[in-house]
Amino acid sequence: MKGDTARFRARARAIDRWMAGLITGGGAAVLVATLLLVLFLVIETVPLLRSPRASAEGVVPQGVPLAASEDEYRERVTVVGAEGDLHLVGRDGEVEVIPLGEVKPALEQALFSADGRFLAVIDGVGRLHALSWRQRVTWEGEKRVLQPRLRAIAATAVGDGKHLLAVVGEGNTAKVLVGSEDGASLVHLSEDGVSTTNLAVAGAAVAGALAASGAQAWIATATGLQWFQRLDPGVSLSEPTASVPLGFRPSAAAVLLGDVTVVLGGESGEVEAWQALPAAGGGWRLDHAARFQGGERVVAVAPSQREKSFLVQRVTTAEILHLTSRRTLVALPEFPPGAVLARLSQRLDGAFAVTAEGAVHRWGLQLHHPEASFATLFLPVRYEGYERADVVWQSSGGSAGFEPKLSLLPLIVGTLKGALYALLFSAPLALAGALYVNQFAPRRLREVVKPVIELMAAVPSVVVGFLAALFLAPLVREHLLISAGVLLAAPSVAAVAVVWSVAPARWQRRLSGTRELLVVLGMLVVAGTSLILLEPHLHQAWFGGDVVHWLYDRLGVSYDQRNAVVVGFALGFAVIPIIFTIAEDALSNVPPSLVAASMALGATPWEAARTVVIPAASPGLFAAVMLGLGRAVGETMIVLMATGNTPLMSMSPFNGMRTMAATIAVELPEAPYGGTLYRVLILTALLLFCFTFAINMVAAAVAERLRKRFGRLAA
Amino acid sequence: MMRAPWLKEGIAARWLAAAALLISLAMVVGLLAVVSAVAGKAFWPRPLVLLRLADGRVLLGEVWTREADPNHPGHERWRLKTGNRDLEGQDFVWVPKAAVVAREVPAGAWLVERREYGNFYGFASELHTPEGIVSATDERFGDALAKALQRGRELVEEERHLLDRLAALHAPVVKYGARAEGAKSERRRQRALAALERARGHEEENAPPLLARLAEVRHQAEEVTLVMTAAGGQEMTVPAAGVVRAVPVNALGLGARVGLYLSRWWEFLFAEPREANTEGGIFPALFGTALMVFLMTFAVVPLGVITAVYLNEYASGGMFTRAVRLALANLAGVPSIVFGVFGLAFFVYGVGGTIDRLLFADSLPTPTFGTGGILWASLTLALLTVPVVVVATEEGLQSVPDATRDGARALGATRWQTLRHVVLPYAAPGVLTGTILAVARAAGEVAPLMLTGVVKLAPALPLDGVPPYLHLERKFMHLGFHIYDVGFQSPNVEAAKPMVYATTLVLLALVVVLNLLAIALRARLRRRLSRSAV
Repeated sequence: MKGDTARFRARARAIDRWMAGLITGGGAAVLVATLLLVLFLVIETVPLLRSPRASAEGVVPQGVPLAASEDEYRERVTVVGAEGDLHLVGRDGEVEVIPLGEVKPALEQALFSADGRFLAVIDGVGRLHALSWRQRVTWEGEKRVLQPRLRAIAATAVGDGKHLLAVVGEGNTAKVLVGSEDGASLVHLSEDGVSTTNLAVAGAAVAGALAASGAQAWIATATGLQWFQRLDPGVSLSEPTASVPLGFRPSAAAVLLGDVTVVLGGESGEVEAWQALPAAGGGWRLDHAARFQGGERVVAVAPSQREKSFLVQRVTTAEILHLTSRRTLVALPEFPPGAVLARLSQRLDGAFAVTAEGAVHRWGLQLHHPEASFATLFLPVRYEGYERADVVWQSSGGSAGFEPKLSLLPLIVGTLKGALYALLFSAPLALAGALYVNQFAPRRLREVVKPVIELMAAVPSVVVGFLAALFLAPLVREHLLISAGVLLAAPSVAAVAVVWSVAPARWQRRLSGTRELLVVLGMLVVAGTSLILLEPHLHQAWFGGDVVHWLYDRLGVSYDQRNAVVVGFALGFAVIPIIFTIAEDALSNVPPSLVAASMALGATPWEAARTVVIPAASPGLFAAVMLGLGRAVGETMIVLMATGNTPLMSMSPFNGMRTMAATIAVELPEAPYGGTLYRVLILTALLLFCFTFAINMVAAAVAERLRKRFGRLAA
Repeated sequence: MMRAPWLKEGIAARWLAAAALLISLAMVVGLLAVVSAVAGKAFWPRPLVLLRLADGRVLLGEVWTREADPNHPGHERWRLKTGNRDLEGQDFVWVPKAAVVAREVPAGAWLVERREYGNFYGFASELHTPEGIVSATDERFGDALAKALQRGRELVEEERHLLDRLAALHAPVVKYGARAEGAKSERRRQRALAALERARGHEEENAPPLLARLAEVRHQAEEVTLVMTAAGGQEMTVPAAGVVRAVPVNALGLGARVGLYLSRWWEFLFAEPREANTEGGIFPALFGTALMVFLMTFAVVPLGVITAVYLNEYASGGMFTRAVRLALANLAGVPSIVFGVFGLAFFVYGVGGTIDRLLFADSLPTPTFGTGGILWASLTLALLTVPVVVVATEEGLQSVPDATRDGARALGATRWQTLRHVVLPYAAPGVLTGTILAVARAAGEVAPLMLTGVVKLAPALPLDGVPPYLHLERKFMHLGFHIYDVGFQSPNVEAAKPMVYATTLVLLALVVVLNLLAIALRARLRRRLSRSAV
């Protein structure tokens, strides 16, 4: 019997210990979850900071090279040899040789298009050949097999002293830019025939580049850069649309993906980016867009087929640069001095170079997120087609050559603007309301107000946003004068109050508590009604019937229906309960003995509130506003629905904005996992987290101080 | 120094403070009033108005709004819902009031709510059934129409039932086919192929009679049609199976109108959406919201209660306790969208992606758990609402007098026994308050869901008759997201407005009722707290 009790006791104690562990573990779970939250945001952001890497992958020897390209999967490098064959060099050194066909050796020159799908060759008898070159992917079970297909498109005689500048192609047509001592010409080759457009170049064409469509060409001469437009097969002579003198002697040129920017390399190592912009007096001008770090003579510039990076090949080195972020991503290690050819892989996951002896060098590339750097995220950047550096958020565009513009500044400014307007509206209302409830209102009123404010906090933000956008915004636009008139409410109530205060004290005493509240309510109702009645007359008399037109015509102020005023009101709705509750708590925590002492010294309730309660609670009131700010900054649905979501930098109350939270909500579901946009959006979330974390810390510290200060008094 | 009386009494300041409070309260009341008013009349039958215009056009429809004409200042224009989208290509027409020559409310005008192409407004001509033709002037027309519509509903129901059964027969074929395709080993492939063979055999055996019946049902559905005439004179044949309801609105008495109003609300709450969510009901959204918060409570209540118990009963007040409190304060202050981002990065891509690689490797790259779903959404919201449960539970625990605890311990109970048998039952109202508040908060939260699995239109409910019955990986619909999607992403926002307001009212009612419940519960708890303190 006694043994049973002891066993029972032991078991109870064991369970007790076990449960204590479990419960402590449960408490830890919350901590772990919070840490996990931060950790994951950081983990997903960190790759943005990772520096690009390049690693050498091996050397494969081969014959005398003229041109080279690589397949999408980086399996084989295709090298054009002077003897007139294609050599497909595998990673293991295995070589497959395909004859070029009707081409007469020894070849003078050969050039692949940027996408590696077209090949131009000038053969031993001075004929220009255009060929299409594909490697079709087939599958043998799990194994990928590339089937090469070489097809001659057309050929024509070009004569001596010509050199190949650029090739592009599409389907059964190819366009070849050919330079000579006295100019340049564009040769259109297709199965239907061959035609030539001569370009009116001033001097010998040193380097040149073609847009992907072949309709635009850039020619660099020893002294300048010229841009030709609308190069259709029917045009026999084309004058430059724009030209500009260069401050250096160019040696290489290439146009970047998107056909907007041309990159020039110089004899003395300069690397510059140029773009065409509309000129002030009509027409076009060539504009210096960027300058990169110099070095040795530039042998060639090879653009990426994926984004705005490009390879600059110098005499003994090669590096990969990025246009948007204006930085050198990585230099290729162990670059063979005297390499004749160097290019980027099609997926930008590698690079290769071929030496004069025909050795193929390869590199693996991990560029990570070249378009995201501190500068592109937080500083003005000069994007393609922009006159000056600007901060722009435009994460996706229609075409493959689109340059993502990922400046977080417009989003941060939009977020702060929304929060600012929300606080302008809600902080006075909530603080004053809390003061009234805490200090002047009858006790019964407090019991009604608190649940109502709680309900206000519970209203889903999607409901507030929906009403703000579809109900309030059209109403405000229609009745802008009434909305502006609301601003007069405070001074008019105050004016009436001042008048009332000269009334006999006997009357004033009767007007207190609920009656006072009813009188104020009556005043608000009268003021509102008179505004509504007056509005149409004011409209006609002063504003010509439409305030929005008047604003634009007279003041040049543009008006968006979904603007900062509407957002401020709607966000204010969400923020008021937070500020109100915390402020009311802070006011309640002021020990009643302080108020009693002050009133014993002859202070009126208002004087006690003004000189004792408010100063004592002021840190708490400050914390309330801070937490309200935190809520306003992080609110998503209201701003998503009521702002119009235009990433503007305007601080005008009549314009919309785009906030960080709304951008995350809209763009993250569409952002590919692990991509730059995905990581930038997670960085945005991390910023939001840090901001609210800081606010919470400040508020917690303030609360702690208040507890310390009044802890003794309250006891 | 004597101050001016108005400064001393601070009347202006007091009045301004009172005004601020009143304005804040008016905002809440105003919001509830606007939503209730607009949503309340959203389904009330509007009269069908026949307008003859100066240019000879005749329009029949509901006057939707009246407003000042921006093109002709001083004049009014009406937005008329004319329906008949398949005839006109649009639902709404602007009519300048000045262009209206004559306006009447014809008793013979009918409103036909259809499953496709929205409403049809016109005049009934005749009813075609296999038994013969009934003219609209015939007194048997009403009964015949009611019977035809009933028949149409039955046929639609049967068609859907048949399609469901056919889909259920075909589903294993797709499943095993994919499994055989993606099999990593030959043995698995053979097993999948055998199962595929069996599923095919089963389908071939059972499908033909269903298909035959389906053809018959569809043929029968085509036989019963309602012939209508639009206001412009065009004739329109509407199959009875495509009609939700047909009513001569203008001829209805008050009772019939109320009946129509209520039946529309019923349809709204319990039917599937139609026409890109702009018509029909919100049942899947209602169901998705309910199931999501239900799943959430399984995660948030244990976690919240244990944390509260730890903080209130076990914590020693050291660094660790302060860290837990700090973590809670931060969870409460972090924007909800950040939780969504965490849910996407951690639950969906992290945990979900791992589950897919381990358990559903055969169906990759199509994700199973590695994409948003109801499980991830409810776990994300559980994390978001933990502070709510903790705060309320702590309040409940604090309301338990220490004397009670000491009494239990004095009788020899261990700490856990005291907690289990004395403290927790006493604190139960606090736990319940916290749960209700968490549910209310989660029901209204939208932003995190947009990243973790909510969709505008889910093909199937996450709970159905197909094993394993509860499909945690499925995407779901949600009331709040429904409001955002239909109100902002819909191609026909104007036509969808009544639906959005009604959805808003439903969501608001849900949240308000839950909160009032919590407030009442907490008030009881506080009364006890003040008693026990004495």
